[in-house]
Amino acid sequence: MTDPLLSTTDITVRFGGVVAANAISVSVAAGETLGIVGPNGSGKSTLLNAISGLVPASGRLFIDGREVALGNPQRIRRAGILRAFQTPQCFDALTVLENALLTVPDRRHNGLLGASLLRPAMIGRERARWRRAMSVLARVGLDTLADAYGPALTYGQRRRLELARCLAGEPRVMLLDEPSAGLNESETREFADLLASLRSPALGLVIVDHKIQFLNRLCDRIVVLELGRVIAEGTPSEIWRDPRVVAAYLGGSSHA
Amino acid sequence: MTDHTASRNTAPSVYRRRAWLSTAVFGLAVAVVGPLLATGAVAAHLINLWLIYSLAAVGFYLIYGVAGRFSFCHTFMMMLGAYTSAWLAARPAPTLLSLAAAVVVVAGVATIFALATSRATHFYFAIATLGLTELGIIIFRHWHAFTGPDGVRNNIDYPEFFGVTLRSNREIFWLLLVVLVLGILGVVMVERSPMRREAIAARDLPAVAATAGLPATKIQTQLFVMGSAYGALAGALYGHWQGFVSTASFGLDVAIGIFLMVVLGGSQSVWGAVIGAGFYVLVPEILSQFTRLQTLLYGALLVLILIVFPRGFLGLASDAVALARRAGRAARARDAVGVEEVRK
Repeated sequence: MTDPLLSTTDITVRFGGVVAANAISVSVAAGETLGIVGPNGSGKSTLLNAISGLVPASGRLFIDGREVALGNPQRIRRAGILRAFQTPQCFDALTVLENALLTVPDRRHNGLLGASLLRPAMIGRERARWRRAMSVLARVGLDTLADAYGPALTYGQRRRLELARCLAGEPRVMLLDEPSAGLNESETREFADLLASLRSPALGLVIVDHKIQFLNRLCDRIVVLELGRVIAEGTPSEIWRDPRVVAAYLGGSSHA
Repeated sequence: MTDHTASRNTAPSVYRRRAWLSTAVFGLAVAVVGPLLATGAVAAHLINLWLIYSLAAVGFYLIYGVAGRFSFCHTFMMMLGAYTSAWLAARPAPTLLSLAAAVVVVAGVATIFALATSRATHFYFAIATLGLTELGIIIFRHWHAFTGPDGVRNNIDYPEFFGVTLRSNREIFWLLLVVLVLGILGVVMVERSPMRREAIAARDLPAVAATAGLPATKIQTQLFVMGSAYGALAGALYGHWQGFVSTASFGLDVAIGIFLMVVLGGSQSVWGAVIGAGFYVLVPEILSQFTRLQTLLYGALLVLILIVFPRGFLGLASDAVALARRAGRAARARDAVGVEEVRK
């Protein structure tokens, strides 16, 4: 494959004396879906937090071969990385539509001038943004709830809203932290269908999750972490046969 | 599906509220009722004070209610605005120019302060604003050339526009009402723009807002400067109305009072600030007949209100509306079931 869409080299995150991520290098190609698994505390969420700039990290991050400084969430987002959180993070004081509008890339006339003197220009841009956000909401099945507020949504709908917030930002790479957590079996299947429908040749998808069926269905490749290190990498069918993975993932007993 | 989405109004609900109309109705209502209520000197004074505090509180609503910044320097901005306008008016300069200068000077100071403290969050920012206010009081008390002996400036000119001087409470009422209505329209403009949602996002979940690419510092600075400018205008108008200003005019009691107005009224809407200001002006006046118990009663009332209506008067009102709607829906659902049963 050609240049990866996103790649990291030696991402290391320390919390005091604890090395939560130890020289992790991963890459995602355009159109590819990468799964990241590992036991609790293996550094999966820490890796996503480092890539999205939320925790101080050392190492390097490249998007399309160009380096992006770590530790600056805004610049990382501008480079095209958008993310969802393990517990869905929705802005409850805003409507569903407003939540989706937050990431729309065109931010011209969004300040005080646009609100006052350049109002006609701002409204013109807003109309385009509203349409864009509504079409994304339709894609995740929340368009009929556009005026609802966060607290009125179910857990599954909050997940979809987070996904809509990412999609409205025209992501190049989306990072999803345990998207199936808190969903029941049928909801998980529906969410997997939704994610599968989002696949496109331009989009890279990184999914951290625990549910093996869910990942096998969606991922082209899976990276296994243990204690902050990459211990295995390969296609879903390869990975689950790897004895190190079995040992790490099933909690130490490698007799299986 | 596409037809359905294309045909529905895609504007967020905040753009569909009738905010321009509400502001106009408010202005007209006060224009009609205000002069009727201003039967005596005390009543006229209280109404004007309410308008000025409302303007200051509307500005503070932008800072605290929308941007979520705990600021204790709103009274400093009011003082700075009052002194600037008074100083310039004594040059002499036209009132319009003095007021504009007060706004510009305060906006400049607020911008510098906001940028200098942009990394201070929550209570660190609050402490910095408290420091600014203390520092300001010391400077105002000693910089006699700008403020006056011991920070007391007397004989500030009455507001004069195009040869018309406004002297009485009743005349100044109109000036204050026009400025307040324009001020509320300014807030409506901000709320019907992307600024509101982005400020709320940066306020409620800063980390998530950052991963969405929102420039929190820029948004919060703009709202802080705009809100402070409202404070400047309120302070300057107070000076021209009362004819004097001192560091005691906007002391700690007013600083806490501004907070109270926004919180008591309901910090989720600009109207909360206006209602809260009314409470702040009116209730101590009503309680003053209980001379010795006044402070005790006032304190007890505040505690009671914040326990019973944690989201302010407006929160209570919106809860009541929601309750009524739910009751209505339940009743309709019952009727529908009744119809079904009859059909069977």
